[in-house]
Amino acid sequence: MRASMFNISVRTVDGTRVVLFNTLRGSLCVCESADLPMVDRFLSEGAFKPTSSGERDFLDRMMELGYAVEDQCDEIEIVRNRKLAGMQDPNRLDVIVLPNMNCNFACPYCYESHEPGSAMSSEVERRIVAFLKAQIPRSSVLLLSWFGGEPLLNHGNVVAVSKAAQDICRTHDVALVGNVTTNGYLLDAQKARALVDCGIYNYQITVDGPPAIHNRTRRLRGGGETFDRVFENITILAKTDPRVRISLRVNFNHQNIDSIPDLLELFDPAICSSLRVVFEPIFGDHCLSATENIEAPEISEKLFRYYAMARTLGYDVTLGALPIGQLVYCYAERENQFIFSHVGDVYKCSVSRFSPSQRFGYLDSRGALVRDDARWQSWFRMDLFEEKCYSCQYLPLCMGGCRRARCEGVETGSYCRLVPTNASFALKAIAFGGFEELLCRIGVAEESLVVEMNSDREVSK
Amino acid sequence: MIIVRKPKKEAEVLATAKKGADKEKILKDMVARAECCVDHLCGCR
Repeated sequence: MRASMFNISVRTVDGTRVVLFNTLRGSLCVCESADLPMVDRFLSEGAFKPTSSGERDFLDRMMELGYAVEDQCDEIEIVRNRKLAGMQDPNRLDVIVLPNMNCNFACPYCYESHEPGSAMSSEVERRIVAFLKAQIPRSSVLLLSWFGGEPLLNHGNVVAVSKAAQDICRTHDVALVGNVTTNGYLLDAQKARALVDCGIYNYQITVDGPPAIHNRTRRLRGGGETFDRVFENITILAKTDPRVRISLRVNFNHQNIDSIPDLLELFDPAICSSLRVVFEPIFGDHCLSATENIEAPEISEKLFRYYAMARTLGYDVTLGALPIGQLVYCYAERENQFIFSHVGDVYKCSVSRFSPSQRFGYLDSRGALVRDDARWQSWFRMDLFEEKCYSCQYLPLCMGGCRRARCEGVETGSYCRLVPTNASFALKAIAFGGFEELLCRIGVAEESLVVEMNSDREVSK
Repeated sequence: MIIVRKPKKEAEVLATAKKGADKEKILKDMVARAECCVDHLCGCR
């Protein structure tokens, strides 16, 4: 028996308890004062030789909870198997469609190169539908996501392809999950109804702060403010159908992170439960990058505070700081995931300039995928993880970081800073704060929430 | 010792990636394990 390589711990402020978390198994427990000498010994020495029945019981409990493993257990192999299972998942068909590379906004942090006037032709639309017709019957679930550019500049493409996908899914008893990532400016009541009618219930709309802050970054291409119209459209959309869920995204850096609480105060409480707040760090250029300009612990501390505030105000909040059982880092690692551009080219990562020289293939006239084998191979045949990942206790939470960044420069991205601080803050919040409130925020599923065992206190949701 | 969450079995972790997995379970799992690519604090998880 030996200690798992994926244990992390934090001690309460009074030093009387230790919170133990295993990133591979998701075990979460709080060890109280009587156990602390054994816990300390276990954390420093691993699975020590027991000299009493109490120590033996403790080690048995560590084994039962996944904090200790058998000597022959290859935990890295378990993580590698997860990654391969996620990459080769046969059930999900992930399709992201870019109906244009055009945008009516000119956000300074945008990584895309926009092409004014670009739009999907009816021929490309037909090829995508043909692709879906061939692939959907092989799947259990279709994730159809619309991205751009600004997809609603081509609302007609979005509705036509989504309607066709909805019909094919119904015919073959395949579940459809529709998403649109939009700046929200064009999403009036009529468009919202049309999208909902073709099965699109999930939306992501970015608001970067209260009006004065938002209008600095989220401005129209030709100049002009956008807050009031986007704000109104979000309210309309939320009331269009009870199934509508809107990810209210705030892209933050050092210039707007402190304005997030003011934004949260603005929305009508009646729609807050339809709004899931998502705070995302701006990445890219040094002068705009969140992680280049704010220390990771400060980001974690503030975001935890803002998520707590959002929850109090009635927003939909689920923290993912302690995710269990991740299979891949992101959707682009899945073999059955495709991004189709407005000209029918195929890509993998949505954080891209979508230049033809970077494409992974294209859809031919029959809607069949013609792959660029060299590029496809280079994306999928690289090592599952970087060397440094194999000794990282957070690996099961992040699954190796950004594949695109690794392909381009053997970097795993800002994850190496954010995942540890986020996980640490979640554990500290458990250690320093109330259980029930935090457990709700970290999204512990009902069935995995366990009532404590050898104590007269209960932890319940 | 207060046990907040028991270890997840490997079969549970891999269940929805197996061929023929239950559609409803896949959908539930997708919500639980959304794959946003920037920050694990993302609320969509």
